[in-house]
Amino acid sequence: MAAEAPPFRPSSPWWCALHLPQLALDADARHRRALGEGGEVDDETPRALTDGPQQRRIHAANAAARAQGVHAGQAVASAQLRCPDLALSPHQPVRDAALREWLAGYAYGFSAEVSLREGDAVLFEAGRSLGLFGPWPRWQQRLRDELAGYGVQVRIACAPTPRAARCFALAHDGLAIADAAQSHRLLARLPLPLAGLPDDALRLLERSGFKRLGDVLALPRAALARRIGPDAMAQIDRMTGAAPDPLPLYAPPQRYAARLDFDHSIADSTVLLFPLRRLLQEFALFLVQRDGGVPGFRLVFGHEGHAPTVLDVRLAAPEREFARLFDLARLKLDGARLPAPAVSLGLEADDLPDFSPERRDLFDAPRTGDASLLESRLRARLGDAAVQRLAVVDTHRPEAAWCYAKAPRTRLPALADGPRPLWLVDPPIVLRDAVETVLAGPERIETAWWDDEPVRRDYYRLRTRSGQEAWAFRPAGGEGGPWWLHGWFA
Amino acid sequence: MPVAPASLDALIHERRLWPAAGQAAGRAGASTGHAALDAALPGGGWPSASLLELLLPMDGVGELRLLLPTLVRLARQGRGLAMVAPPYLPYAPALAAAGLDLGQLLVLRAEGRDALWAAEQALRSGACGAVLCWPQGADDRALRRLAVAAEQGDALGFAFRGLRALQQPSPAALRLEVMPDDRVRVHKCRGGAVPSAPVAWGASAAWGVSASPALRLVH
Repeated sequence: MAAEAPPFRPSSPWWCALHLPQLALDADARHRRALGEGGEVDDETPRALTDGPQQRRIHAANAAARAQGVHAGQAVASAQLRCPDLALSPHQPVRDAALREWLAGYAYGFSAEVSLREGDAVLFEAGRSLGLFGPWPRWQQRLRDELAGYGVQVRIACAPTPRAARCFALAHDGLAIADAAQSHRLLARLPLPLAGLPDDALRLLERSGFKRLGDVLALPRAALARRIGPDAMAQIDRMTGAAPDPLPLYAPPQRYAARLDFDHSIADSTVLLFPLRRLLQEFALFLVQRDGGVPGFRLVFGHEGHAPTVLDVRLAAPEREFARLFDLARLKLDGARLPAPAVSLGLEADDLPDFSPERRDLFDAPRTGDASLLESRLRARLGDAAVQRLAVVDTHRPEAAWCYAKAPRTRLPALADGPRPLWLVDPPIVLRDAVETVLAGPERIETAWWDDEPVRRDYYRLRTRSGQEAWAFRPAGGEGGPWWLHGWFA
Repeated sequence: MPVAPASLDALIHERRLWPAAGQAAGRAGASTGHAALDAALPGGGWPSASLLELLLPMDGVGELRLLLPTLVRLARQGRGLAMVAPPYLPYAPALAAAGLDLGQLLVLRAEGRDALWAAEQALRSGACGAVLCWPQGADDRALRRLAVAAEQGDALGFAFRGLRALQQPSPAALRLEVMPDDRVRVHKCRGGAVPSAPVAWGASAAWGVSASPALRLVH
């Protein structure tokens, strides 16, 4: 790897910033996934969050909406003029906070020093854990893969000070600055608005014509401090490392509590499985990070006009595997009778395992046995188009009788066709090998005249000289001609 | 070089050494769905949580039909299935007609290292009951990784390879040569004697080579 050429020795401490450019949108999508709405989070629907009095202002817009001219700060009315099919929902700061908290727990799996001081980033000290999870390019890729799998967009950068790391993450995704000298050089070129200065100091400096942080740092210190005030000066010193920057550190919670509030009340217990699944997935991840299991947990169903229903799920032995937690919770739910439709679902656990930051093996996937986690990982690395499910299409034209399915389908259309091969050769090719025996056929396949690409073929099941079983056809009514290989009875 | 006794566990762990007797006794196999084949295999079926090699003279000799009962059963039990970089398109109507729940099957497109990575992830995830892969030019180390992943994820890893691969040793728990006419020849099976003759698993009759030529006009 290229990184091995000059030995990469970062400063100590060495801070990593996970900047969250779409925190509110990601948190909203996470909430919708949790409720089982829309299944996949599709990027194509223009979507925006609103805030302000009577929700009349756009708080954040996704890429599809931005492409149509929607932007943060806009009035909702004018956003809807530009983009009539804009999906709107109110911005819920509580969800942002929950996602930040979750990310802090995630980062705590790598480092004991994690801070949530910055509103738009999670900071953690990476230098001391580099031996365990590094080299940095691999560690960084792992962070990106895992967080993409959880639907969180991040910009990542590292630097000797936490403030510089955050600024670099804003300015240039993927930057890893090893030492103070390099950090100084790059900070000098940082556009002023990205330097994280207090608003009034920034406005004052911009009015004076300063464009980059370097222009400001070149000023005599006393003069600069007089101009921008002691607070802004102290911030600059902490960013450059001239002054220490004590951070409030994140402490992992001693008890676990998570809750989902539904937009509508839910009476059907099979529908309740969606939020239950989501809550338990995150709980299982939380347990993996803490590297331990729980002896039990509580499910709390909120009702309107009724006391909440509490289901106590006890485990035979401490568990952390999602599949087992989910199985047991589902059994419990099946056996319970809710007095009224549920308006919220909470998960609480008091008896948490001790935290050990040296978590799972480098190459280990979280072993939750959950198919959607596997699928997330596969999609994150191979791309969406490379991970597919199949479905049957109700048509007699063989090459059109299947499709890739967006979501798993269980319906089996009752087709009374003859035996079909397990491998389809698509498109058909001329059969090269000689035919030894005709095992079955002909089966005439003829589509109706209104079919887009009408076919009229006679299909045969053949054994080739080398012993393969082929599904091959000739145009109906034709005399001889080549066999067209359309599948293998594999 | 003398081998210290303490390194025995390590050797077993690294799949350089197999505790043959203990393995067979401790672990029952998973039925292949073919009585004749089950009877011929040491555990009474596929060795569970292992890498299994299917060696083919060419494609289309019954290699998928051999596995279908296993795949259908696992899908019914709610276990996931994955095909990593199959050589042809798995044909949905035929799979559905065999009773396979297509919702459980993931078809992955990947090449080279990505394909090995995907197979390893799927095996290890615990979400898949069986993973079918067609490793191209995989070396011993890659296969060993798949074997370890299959064990960790309690999955059956089926690796389809050409007959030529028989010339190299393999960490697979079972090596089956798939022959035309619904027969297989066992080349290696962990924890038991290798049957000397090919085993006919065939159920060609059940698979209905339909006798009457069907004429069909569809609207």
